[in-house]
Amino acid sequence: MKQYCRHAGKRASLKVAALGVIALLGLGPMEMTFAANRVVAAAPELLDADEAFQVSARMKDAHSIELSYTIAEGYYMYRGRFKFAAENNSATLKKAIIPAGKVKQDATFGRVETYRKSVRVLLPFASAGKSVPISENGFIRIKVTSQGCADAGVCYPPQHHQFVLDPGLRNSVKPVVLPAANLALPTGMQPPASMSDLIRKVQ
Amino acid sequence: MKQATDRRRATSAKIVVAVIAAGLLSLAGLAMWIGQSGAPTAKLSELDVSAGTIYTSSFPDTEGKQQSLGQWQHKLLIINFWATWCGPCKEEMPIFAKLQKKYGANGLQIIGIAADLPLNVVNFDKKLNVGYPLLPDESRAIEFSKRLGNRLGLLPHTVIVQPGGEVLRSQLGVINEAEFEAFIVQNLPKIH
Repeated sequence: MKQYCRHAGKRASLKVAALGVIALLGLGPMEMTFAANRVVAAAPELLDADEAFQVSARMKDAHSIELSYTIAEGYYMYRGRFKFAAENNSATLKKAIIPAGKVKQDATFGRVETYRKSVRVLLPFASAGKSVPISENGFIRIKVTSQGCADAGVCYPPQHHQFVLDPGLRNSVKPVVLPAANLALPTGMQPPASMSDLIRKVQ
Repeated sequence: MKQATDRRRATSAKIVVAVIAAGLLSLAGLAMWIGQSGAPTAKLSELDVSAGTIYTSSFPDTEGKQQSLGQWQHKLLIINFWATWCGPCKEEMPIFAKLQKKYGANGLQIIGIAADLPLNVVNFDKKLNVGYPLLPDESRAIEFSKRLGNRLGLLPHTVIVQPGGEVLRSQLGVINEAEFEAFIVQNLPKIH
């Protein structure tokens, strides 16, 4: 009886141990998977700004330019952060027609409007009069500034794009990305090359 | 009979080892999750920043007066990169204000380098009154942040520098208040 009990005890402990192995082996990968998911949720592989906020422009008609933004899933743009400027004298930009965005009222920071998925902005312009010498063979050159953020809780710095449009064509035009102006390093800063990939690593 | 018992014992021992190994694996996974549950972070070993690099830099305050970061070299320095156009940045700034008030006397110094115009920063601080230096430099802030590991120039970006210039942490995105505070408390300079 004593022996039986000892064997039964051994069998029971073996069973418990086996169940433990199964449970832990099962739990281990689950936890790791969860860990990985958690990391992804906290630090997703963030897109470059030009992938997150894709923009193109076209002449909608003889008097207006249409800007089309395609916004990646999980990203949004601010209505109040658009800026437009004509960069040559072929046209004078009038007030841009920017559609209403989703309004968020913040007690401290006021009203902000945002866009998801896409937004189209219309830029009416007045052609240069005959008295004005038209530069660049009549091509219209504009600079567009925009800014957006990711749901992951980070914002991108303002993006500057330049478009060169032929008023006689209606095709869609891709932008030239302009560097942020005047990016001097603070006094004493040397570019530490080995750090440039850090965020790529931790994302 | 004895051999069979020995085999059983050996099997039991193997199972116990496997259980322990699986348990350790699970704990490692859990530790990884806890360690990475906040925004992305990195330690100095991955950064390679020389101690003097940060302290020789300077940025203008809201009155245009250059402030050298070297003046805070004996403090636990938190450099928060932000802008008034960055929603997540503004959300977390009350946390920094609270931490500065709570641990300022214990050697903590928070500074906010803004990729923004001085006027925007001044108007913002009228509402929030953070109680730590805000240094607006629209043209240089992002670039400086990039040099501290922020490849895409995203905001907010927070860097923790311990007295002497060693970067303890470089973090993108909104901080987790409890975890961040615990990290600060752990790394405050010893007051003699």
